[in-house]
Amino acid sequence: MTRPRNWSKQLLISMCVAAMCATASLAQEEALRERLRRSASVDERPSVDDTNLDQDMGAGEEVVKTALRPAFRNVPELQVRIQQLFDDTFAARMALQNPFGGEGVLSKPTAAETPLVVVAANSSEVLLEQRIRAEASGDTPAMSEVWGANAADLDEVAVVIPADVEYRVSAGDMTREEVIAVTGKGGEDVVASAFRSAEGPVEIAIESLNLKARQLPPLPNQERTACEVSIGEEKQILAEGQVSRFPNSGLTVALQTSIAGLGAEDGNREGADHALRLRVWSSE
Amino acid sequence: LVLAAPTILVAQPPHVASFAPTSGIAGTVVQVTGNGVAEGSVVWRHKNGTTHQLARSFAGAEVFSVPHNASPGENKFSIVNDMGSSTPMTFFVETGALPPPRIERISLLRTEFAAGETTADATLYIQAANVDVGASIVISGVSMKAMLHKVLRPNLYGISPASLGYPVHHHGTLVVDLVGATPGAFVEVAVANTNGSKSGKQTFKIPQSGATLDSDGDSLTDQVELQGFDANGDGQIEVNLATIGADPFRPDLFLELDVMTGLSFPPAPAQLNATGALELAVRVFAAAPIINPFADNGVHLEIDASQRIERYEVVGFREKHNTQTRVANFGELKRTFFTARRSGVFHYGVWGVAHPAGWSGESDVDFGGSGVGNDFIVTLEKFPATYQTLRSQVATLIHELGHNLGQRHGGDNHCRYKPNYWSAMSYTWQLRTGHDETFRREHPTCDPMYYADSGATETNGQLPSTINTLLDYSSGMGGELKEAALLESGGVCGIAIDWNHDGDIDATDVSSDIDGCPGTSVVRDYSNWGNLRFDGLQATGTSP
Repeated sequence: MTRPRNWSKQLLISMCVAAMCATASLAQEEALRERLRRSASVDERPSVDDTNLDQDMGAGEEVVKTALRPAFRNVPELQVRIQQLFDDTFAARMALQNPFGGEGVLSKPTAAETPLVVVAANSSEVLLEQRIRAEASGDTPAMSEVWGANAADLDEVAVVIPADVEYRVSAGDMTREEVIAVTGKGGEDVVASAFRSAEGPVEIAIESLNLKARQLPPLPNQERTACEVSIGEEKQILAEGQVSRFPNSGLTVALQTSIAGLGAEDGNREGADHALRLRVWSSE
Repeated sequence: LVLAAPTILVAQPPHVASFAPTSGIAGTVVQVTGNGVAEGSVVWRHKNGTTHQLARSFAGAEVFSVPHNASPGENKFSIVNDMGSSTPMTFFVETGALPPPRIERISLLRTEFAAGETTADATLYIQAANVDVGASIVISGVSMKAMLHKVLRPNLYGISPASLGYPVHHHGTLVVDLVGATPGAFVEVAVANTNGSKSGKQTFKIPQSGATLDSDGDSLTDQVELQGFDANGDGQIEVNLATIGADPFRPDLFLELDVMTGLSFPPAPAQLNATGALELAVRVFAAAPIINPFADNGVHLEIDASQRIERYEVVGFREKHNTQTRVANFGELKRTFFTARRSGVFHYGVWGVAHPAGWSGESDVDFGGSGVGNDFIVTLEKFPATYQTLRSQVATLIHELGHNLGQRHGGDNHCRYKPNYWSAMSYTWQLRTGHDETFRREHPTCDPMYYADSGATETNGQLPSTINTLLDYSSGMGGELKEAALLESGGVCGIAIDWNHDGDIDATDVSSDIDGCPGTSVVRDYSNWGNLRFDGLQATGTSP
């Protein structure tokens, strides 16, 4: 049991076999008391910082210092998303070329060497300016040459590639949707990704590719489910993690995730529990 | 520890140079500066002419509490010593009463074990909100005199304390001794102010042994904090925590945060005069209303974000690792990249691209079991531009880390949208400025508190013109709201709210679901800071 000091002072002394023990203990007490006297204080609780927390961070490693950005700014947003799309598709293609599932023989460009995409028009008809290392042939390369390029082999030139871009993004506090599809002029080169989450089975469409995907009912006690993917008249059932070609359209589709009731406890659920994410690119 | 005031003879009567505040309710803590003040005593002269000597703090008469029975209006006080009295000072007592104290934290200042560790003498360091100078500690039913050590005043950003459910006028710490306690035993602790108002009881466990002694209660033993961490039990120290700031008398949080390569929105680095995201997170914890006896106040958060790891497009706790589809399993990443010798002393986080379900992040907190976690991810990269702000980054980081520390979306429950729970753990706060006006209209909060500005108001959900810096967990000050009887003119923190979204402020009570949880009737605030749990490192979450 615990005995407060003011009625058990003797106990402290009795616990020490020798009088020396009590003396040392009291000396320590006095030292602590003096330390507490010296450190006593009254303070105001500090605020965190004077940094503007809502500043525009821009993209990349450098923070862009501007005022609060309440508006949705499409052009830089799209620029960032296209860059991400190209980078991720490049990585996915490299991984697929390696039968052992690694990164492939071509290394991913480092941040400094990553092609710079500049979106210079509206989203219905977009010019992509690619700063890549390439032989300056004067010809406009196909888009697939750009996003599939091994940067180390190319010289740095600026090229402009006409392309159509479908871009649709929305975010609520619980659900999100992001569709981005870049189609080279003539329709032969395609890079696209689509994501959507919802509180229930998800359907998603990439209209410019005439692609639709919908989750099928999950098997009992399964948190993942297959999806029916159609491109025009061509229809396939894909399991999560499956990559499949659609020969008629010349496209490859990777079903990255298909969640139907994520197995998170309600308490740490941070959003909707159904979600579908896929990636599309032109088949080789 | 002898808590009697020292008697020091000085040659002159005390001289008061200044004191603050000069007005306040009964129970207000006043700080006095001047010559001979620390060694003196405070004599309070009531309006009716009666006087009495006030209790002393560790700062002597430099810190005292206005008596609870002081009448509203002008009162006088003096500092006296053996040589005489200072000039009387006038303090204006405002109408109102200090709420009862509320225990926020109990730690240890000094612990000594008898031979064989059969008994322990412990000096407790007890933090309570609204505790007064002269308060007593009641331990297992026995009242003991304690002495007040430090005081920390919160910023209410112009909010009237009367509009708060539990206004915290100040936090204070009390020092009290326990002698001959049984190691490993549990004691019930309560705080009683000089007017008899008492806190609720809190249970405290007497340390089991010197080897397991954890003075600051951060789940890192004093031995580990001082001498280092022997991760594999080979007798060698693998992680020297002292060299990275560990202090056995200040809570420490260590985090390894690995950031994926190729991100457009990695944690914002410091630039020009702006603080980086991770440094801001550190400051959030450093600014915590947690009083430490000797070191700086707050929690010491140490983040090692020096490692960049391979980019995957998706990272989740329940995903199958798939390099072809660029989907990563968190456990696989942890096995590969987490510095194994830090297991048990560091939390682990991955700053990645996207969550499988599109969430801004996720913690492995095990609410169904341990109630805490040790792993989390942050995945804001693909969120729209309005979310790509320092605020969103820091808020999401401390939100997920907060889950690791046992905190919930609703404080005492999982409800996500409490208007009276002012915390980065709540969805009303976490990504508020990124959301649109409709969201802000539908999920109101205390605007001055969120924007750290006394005049801040979201008119129709629009962001106010002045936005200051505040990233915080709740201190538990919000008033209780009954969903069946909501007063629109009262709103929260005194700001009117159109609870039923009918376009006006109704004069009569209305009903509405305001916290996002059907069936809830009473919506309550919750003090995150007073309930942080640091044992996720040992208890772990749903992932190892």
